[in-house]
Amino acid sequence: MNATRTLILGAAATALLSGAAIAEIKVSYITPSTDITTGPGQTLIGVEEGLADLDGDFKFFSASPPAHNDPAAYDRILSDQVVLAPEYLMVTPATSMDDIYDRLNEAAAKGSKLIVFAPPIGLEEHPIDPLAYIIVPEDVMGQMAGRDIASMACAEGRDPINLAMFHGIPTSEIGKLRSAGFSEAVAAGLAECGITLNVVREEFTNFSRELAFKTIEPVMTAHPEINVVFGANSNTALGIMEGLQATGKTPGADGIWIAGQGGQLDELAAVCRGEIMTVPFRDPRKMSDIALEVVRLDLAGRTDEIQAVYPTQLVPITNCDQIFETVPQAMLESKGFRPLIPEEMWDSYMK
Amino acid sequence: MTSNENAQRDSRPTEIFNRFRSATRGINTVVFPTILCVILLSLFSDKFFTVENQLNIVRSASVAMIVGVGQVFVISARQIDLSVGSVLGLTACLTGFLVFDGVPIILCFFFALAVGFVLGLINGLIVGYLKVPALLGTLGMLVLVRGTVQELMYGTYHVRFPAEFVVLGQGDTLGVPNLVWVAACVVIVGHFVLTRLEYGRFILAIGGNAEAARIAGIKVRKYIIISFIVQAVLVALAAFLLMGRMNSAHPTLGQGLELHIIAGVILGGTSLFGGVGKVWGMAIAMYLIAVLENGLLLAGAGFFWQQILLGFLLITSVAIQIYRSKSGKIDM
Amino acid sequence: MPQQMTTPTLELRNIAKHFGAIKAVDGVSFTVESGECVGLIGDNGAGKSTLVKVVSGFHPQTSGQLLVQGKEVTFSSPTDARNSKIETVYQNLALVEQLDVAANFFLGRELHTNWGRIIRYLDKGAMKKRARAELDRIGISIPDMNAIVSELSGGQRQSIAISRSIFWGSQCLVLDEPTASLGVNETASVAELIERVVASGVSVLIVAHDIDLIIQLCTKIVVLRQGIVWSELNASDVTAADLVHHITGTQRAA
Repeated sequence: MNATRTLILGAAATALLSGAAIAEIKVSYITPSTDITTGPGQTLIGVEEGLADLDGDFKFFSASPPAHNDPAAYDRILSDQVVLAPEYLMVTPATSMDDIYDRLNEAAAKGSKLIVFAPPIGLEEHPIDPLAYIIVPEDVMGQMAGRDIASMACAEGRDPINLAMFHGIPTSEIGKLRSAGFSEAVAAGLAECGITLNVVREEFTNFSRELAFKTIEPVMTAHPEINVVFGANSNTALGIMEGLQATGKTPGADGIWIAGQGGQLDELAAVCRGEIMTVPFRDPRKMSDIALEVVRLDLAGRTDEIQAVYPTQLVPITNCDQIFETVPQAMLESKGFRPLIPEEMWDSYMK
Repeated sequence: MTSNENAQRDSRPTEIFNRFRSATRGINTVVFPTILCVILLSLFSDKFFTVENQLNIVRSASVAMIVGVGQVFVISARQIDLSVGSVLGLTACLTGFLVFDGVPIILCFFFALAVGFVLGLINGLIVGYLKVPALLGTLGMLVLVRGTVQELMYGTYHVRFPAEFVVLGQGDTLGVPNLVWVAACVVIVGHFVLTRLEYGRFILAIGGNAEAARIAGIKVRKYIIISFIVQAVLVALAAFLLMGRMNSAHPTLGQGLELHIIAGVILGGTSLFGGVGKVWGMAIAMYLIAVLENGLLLAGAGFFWQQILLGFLLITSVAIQIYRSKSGKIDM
Repeated sequence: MPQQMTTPTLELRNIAKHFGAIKAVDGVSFTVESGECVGLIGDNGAGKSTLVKVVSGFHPQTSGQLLVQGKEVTFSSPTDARNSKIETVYQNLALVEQLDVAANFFLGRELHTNWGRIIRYLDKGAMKKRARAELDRIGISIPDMNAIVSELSGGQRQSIAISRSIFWGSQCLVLDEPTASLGVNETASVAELIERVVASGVSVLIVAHDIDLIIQLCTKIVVLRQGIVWSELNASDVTAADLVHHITGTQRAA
């Protein structure tokens, strides 16, 4: 029992330190994942760091459920937010917006102002009234990758295109939008230059790198003719890439083309190495900057200047040059990118 | 729980200490860390010890308490049910179809319980008749039922139920959330059944020594099957309430629930080796888990502390259980 | 001395139990008279435990007849055997260690309160009172009916198991290794209890490795070997050394 006490005291002390500032303005960011390699995880860090630079006395709270897609745990965390009643409640939904309306409205009734990182559909139908939506046009992200693959196939005359789709979590709106955008754009693009498209396989790999890794091998065994694979997020694309390599296949320009989504740093590095062909990039730090700007405007009483919806800019990435032009150097220098590309490549770009 | 008589024998100056020790030995191990956590966490947030937040915590814990009562029965009988999360998901999604078809709520309720009954019966038959060990049989059901609900929903989910349905999970009665009322009833009845009724006595006897129970004429298989059914029906009840609470039913609902439930049941003093079941202890443990989740969040500590502390408490509590049972034997 | 005139409490006639080609028990006959203690001994694999399981209703016999008070019976479960007033006390299997003394005493035959019969509400008070009274009557000292069995000594546990069987009106008690894993003093007190039980008119069949105990308690000794009755002896006529010869050596008296 003594050991228990020591640990709890330790935890409590940590709690005290991390929330040492006297709470003036409470800001919460609730996200399905705090993993810093993911978009929400990076946005979380962006918000936390950005608050420190903002004028005012802020106390920052964050939480995420133990399992990425556990709607019940997410609901409990949001219940706690209703009690906490932060001045600003930022939320990235875990599975869908529909799951969290009731809790968000309870929080709003307690005076919390909502900033919602939402999938870009049906915003006007959500029965909530947030300060702002910050959206990633996920369908556009899918379309960008689809157009890239189609134009590569047309340029090279790769015919037919035998496509495998690795979708996200079945109920994820983000995953559905990306997959649909990709399918639609690749079909349209290939039709223009008369290339046949066969969708030979569709799998749900739950945005999981491990599951994508395990799934690609039997898929390729069943359909050795597959020459393009779509992964619904960065981890899916990376899992596909690693799975192909583990079974002696070559992902890349001369082999199987992988289309990714999102542009997590290690996925960008794979583009530099030529192993993933296209990755539309959304900058999670830009999203946190927008969120903080909304807070700043609201605190300054300039609420009328806040836009109802802020779209995040996407950048199509198909080669390493674009990455070094687009992505802030500080991010590229991190462990998530620099060690993953050949040193001479890094040096050549740094000149 | 052993030594009231020990204390009575010792009438030396240390009597008060001995009395204290023997008095506390009868108290469930989980009570001490719970009190400690509540006191500590209330220091870090003035919101923590408010009536509103305490009700919020108990409401958060209520689903786990309802499911936990069933798991106390199952584990007391020296079985385990890993399929609870998947049963929760399937029951919620199936019932959701009926709710949207305009079936009266009361019928939806009995339908949900019937789904639970059937799934529990399947679990029971797998363990009782096919003789598959519960750990593997219900693991199989965990995967099978989750796959079934995913295939059934295939990327869709239910959302925005009729208001009269939602009120069950979201409404209050006399200022206390309906979920808490239901959980309280289930816990009280569960405790009563386990300690006062023949069914509870049989479950404990089977878990403690199945062979002795069989020799004593107890129909071991029958009662094991019943305990799986009770578990699944309580899961179905929880599913019905949780659907209203969340106002949605997802095919992923309940993923990972089994670990939460088993952690709470064991933390509450139920023996994983069967024969000892503690319904109240389980309820307190579920409250403790919710306290950690809520209190650390309100204190502004990183979320992962909850998992670190919970894991630590779990190991400590099982170690203490084992130590207590060993020392019980050596004492004599 | 066996009384030839009365009906034996238990009679085995040519009992055989085969598991496929294995003849674990192959035609065993003997009787246990009222108020008689019969010792069943034999080496490991001689068929003792299989025979006990037949008598206690665990395995139905392959052939042969089982007579209780002169009437032929067939057991398909231990409950059947118990209904015929044959109680078996197994080594280590009798009690649920996590339950208290009274709970074990009434295990499988719980008492219910009058109002609670429908929901099978346990009458814990009545069970405790009656268990206490019975243990006192037989002269077993258990300080606390609330004590969990795992906190009791091996001798206390064995005594509880035996007195439970007596309490339930057993006419024939089958004891499987009643003193295994007991200390010297505890063995003595259990032996004393068995003597009292026999004196009260209950028939007892003891299966044990402890030859001295068997000679001390029993009047008749049945030696099993390779599934048959190798020897049937009067306890007063033999020494422990003789018995060893019957069990593993060449001596025989069938």
